[in-house]
Amino acid sequence: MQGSTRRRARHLLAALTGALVLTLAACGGDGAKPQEPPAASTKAVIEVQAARSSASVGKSVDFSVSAVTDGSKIDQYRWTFSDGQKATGQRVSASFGTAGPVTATVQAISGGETVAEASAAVVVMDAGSSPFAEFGIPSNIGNIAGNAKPGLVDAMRLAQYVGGLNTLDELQVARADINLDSTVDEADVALAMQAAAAGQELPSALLKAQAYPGAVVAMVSPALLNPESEVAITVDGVASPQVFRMLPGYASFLVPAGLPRNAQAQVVVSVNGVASDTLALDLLASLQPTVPPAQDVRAFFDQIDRLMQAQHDAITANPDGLSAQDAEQLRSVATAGRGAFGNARLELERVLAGPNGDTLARVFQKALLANGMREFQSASQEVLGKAAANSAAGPMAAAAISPDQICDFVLPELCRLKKTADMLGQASTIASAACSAVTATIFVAGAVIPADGPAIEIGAVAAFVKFCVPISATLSVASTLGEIVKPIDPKLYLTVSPLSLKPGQTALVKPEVAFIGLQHLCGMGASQGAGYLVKQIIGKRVVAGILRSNTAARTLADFFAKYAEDLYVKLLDGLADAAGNALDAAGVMGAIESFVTKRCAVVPAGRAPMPANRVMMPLSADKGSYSFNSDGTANYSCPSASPAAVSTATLEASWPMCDGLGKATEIVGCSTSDVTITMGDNGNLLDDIFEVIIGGQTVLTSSAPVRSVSAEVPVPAGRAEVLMRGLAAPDQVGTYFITFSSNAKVVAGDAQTGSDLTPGVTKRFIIEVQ
Amino acid sequence: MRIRSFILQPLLAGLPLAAAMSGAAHAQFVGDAFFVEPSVTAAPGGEGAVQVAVFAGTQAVGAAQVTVTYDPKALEVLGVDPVEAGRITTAMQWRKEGNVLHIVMVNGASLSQPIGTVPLGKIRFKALGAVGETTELWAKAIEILKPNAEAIPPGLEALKGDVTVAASTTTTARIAARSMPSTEPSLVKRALGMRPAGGTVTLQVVDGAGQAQPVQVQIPPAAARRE
Repeated sequence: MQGSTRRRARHLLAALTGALVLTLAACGGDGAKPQEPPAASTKAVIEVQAARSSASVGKSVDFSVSAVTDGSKIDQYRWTFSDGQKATGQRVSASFGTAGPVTATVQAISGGETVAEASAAVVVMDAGSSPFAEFGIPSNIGNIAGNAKPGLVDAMRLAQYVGGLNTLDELQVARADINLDSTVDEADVALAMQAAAAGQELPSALLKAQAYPGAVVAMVSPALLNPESEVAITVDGVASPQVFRMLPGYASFLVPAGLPRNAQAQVVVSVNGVASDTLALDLLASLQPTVPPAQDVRAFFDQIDRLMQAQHDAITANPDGLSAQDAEQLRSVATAGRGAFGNARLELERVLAGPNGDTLARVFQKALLANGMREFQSASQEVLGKAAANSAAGPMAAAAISPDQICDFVLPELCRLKKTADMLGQASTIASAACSAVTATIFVAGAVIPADGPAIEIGAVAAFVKFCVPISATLSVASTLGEIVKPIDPKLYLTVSPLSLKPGQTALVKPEVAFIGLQHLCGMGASQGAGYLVKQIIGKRVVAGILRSNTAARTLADFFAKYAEDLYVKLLDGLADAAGNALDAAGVMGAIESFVTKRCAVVPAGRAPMPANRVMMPLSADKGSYSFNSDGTANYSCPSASPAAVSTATLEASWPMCDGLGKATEIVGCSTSDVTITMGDNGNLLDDIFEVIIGGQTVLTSSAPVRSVSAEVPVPAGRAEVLMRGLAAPDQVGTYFITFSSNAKVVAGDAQTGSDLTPGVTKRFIIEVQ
Repeated sequence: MRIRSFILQPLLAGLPLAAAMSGAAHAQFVGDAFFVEPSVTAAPGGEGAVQVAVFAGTQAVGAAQVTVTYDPKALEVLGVDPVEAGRITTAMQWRKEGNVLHIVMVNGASLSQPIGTVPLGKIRFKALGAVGETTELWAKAIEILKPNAEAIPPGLEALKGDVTVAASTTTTARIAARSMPSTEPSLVKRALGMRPAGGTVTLQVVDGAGQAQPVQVQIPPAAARRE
């Protein structure tokens, strides 16, 4: 049994390799199409093409190669097949004696040197074999009873389970979820009944009804057992190259990024040009709400290429405890990544599955994290450094917090958090996509052998948990932090009082910053042990977030949940561990903890003062002047020139906020005139009370009915609006009058006297002030 | 306690009777699939329906699958509608494969019901033939399961139903009132394919004016399945 398992594992690896080559080929076009050689060692680019992506044992397959660039003159093409066959020529044919994936590699020779190399793969099938059994392709969906195939008894047990008449064990429940929507319900009963009515295994179309970008859609179809079969996939009518074909009876499809909403995919398996099986899919656009999907697949891979380039830099600069050989191997991975993402992916998987995979994966992860979060780490270190300095100085009391401290510590801290959250959110798009792509092929290999623990261990879990999960966890931390931090939006405000001045008079100027949305963050850590609570909250969100937003993780988790519960548990443990490590490693976590514990207690929930001497923009002498106070405020003085010279002055505060330079302005009138306003109750009964309002402020009123009352009110030159409002009129007759001094002429508005100014009624007058 | 006994005794006593009556009503062998009303009429180009069922005797049915074979030149199957099995609502799915309907019923509502005649679905069709033509349908049980997944052996024979195209048709109530008994050998033979275990079958016979006439045919009870 052990030997069998090992053989299967090796076979898997071989199959995986073949599939990956095919995958690379597929990226360049349709079917078994060409791949580009590593740029570093070639002078020409060639394309290799296999006439078929699958072939029968013993049947000849044509291969061809052509140069696609004007590089060196090619003297000879040398072919090497993975079963040991060799051939020369631009067009060759080969047949293969045993079933399995076969790789054809061609070298372009010029002047005795290999100037280009490319390969393609073909799946060789023995039409008489039983590949379903041989490869352990799952056929137990809907097979609750675990007998030969899904049938009437399965449909009945499923219906009884849905109807609450019986119970099923976990494995049976997993098998009962035929439409893979994580719910066992009437829809599954109907599908099971359809299968029973059809008298055959569940149609392949039932296996997956919808998919997200990065998800691997598995297609198990009897039609694919035919060596002459071909798979064609179209997304919204456009042919897609993302087809994996590696085992008889089985094909898979990596849902591309950059999908339009509600894209439709059609998978057609044809034999000799005749459609034998079809699978219709609803492809859903990105689940990441804040991250727009890539514009197109090419741009998507370009992004990954850039990531690989950055990884290369990080790796080569940071071998960290590796043997020279391992370091060199890892460097070769990164180098390959510079040329083509696919090469790196292939190499990466090979390396991770190798004897030193653990160490290499760890270093690779570290390198990736170091790269992906370089800016973030440096920013967070800076934040942490300042936080530590603050801590050393002792917690700031609310009363002791100074405008300068807000300016120098709190605001930059917050902005760095926001910045890193934004940056990591962007990085998560790239790395998650890369991770999904990397694991997709591994997952395919693991998925077809669900019962073979060691094989999955090598093929999927080893690479996925050790490589992708930590990345996903880290990025999910970032994403979660982003959710919390991003809404916090500091804004600059300016308060000036009063706004109407006479020449030479002064007003108090108070610049402030308002932390809009801060309550949510602070609310998370309102109680004792704030940092711990925040970490716990974030930790929970992280694991859920990974399973929700990382399509590869979710696909794998779903699959394990259904077919290998122990590995599912292991995966979740891996996620939890990785999340914990990521939280510990992420400096931004410390920054948040620091922020919550040190700042929330002292930053006012509303506005915090900013230092006027640093944020107020200078004024020209003819617009007045500032004198700064020790509490961070300032006094603005209107110029002493004649009122006609300066009518208004614009006071402006400016300081870098998180999204750029924040500004706040206020206009002060410096040429006011004193207008005498007189008003009162001129009716038979003295029973009415009124108030007069200018610029939103009550400038004249009385606490009791008066016949006449006056006030001298400074009003800027020009037009002004005066409102008179009724406050009391016991007999519902509000008899009023209002007059202005001669320097203010009423130019529009209501009558200046009347008897209808009752409570709730407002009279409006426009005056022109000289 | 005494009250409970008082209530239970008549109920328990009635069960075998009810079951026996249920079996007698349609006079089928356990495991047979058949048409509840085996002979029906339809206007030319008009729609009609036949209800297919299985007979399980005193055993409860957990699931059943039957096939119905028909002549697609004479009938166009429009669909199969679910029907209630007594007070139990079962789930039904069907698919058409050539001239064969596959009908599957599963019971997720009860472990003890339904028993006796268990209707699976009502087949809706359009009659394509001319007035006076009769086309046959054949119902065959493929698999019948008790709720505990034990099999009820399906009947070996496919039982017949027929659809007669008539210029005018009669309602079911009027059939009972107007049907005339007959012992005419060809009609007995026609009815025997529908009720091999015996019983009364109402056949639709078209007269010279194209009017469907219900005719009652009595099939002698068979102690065992006729080979």
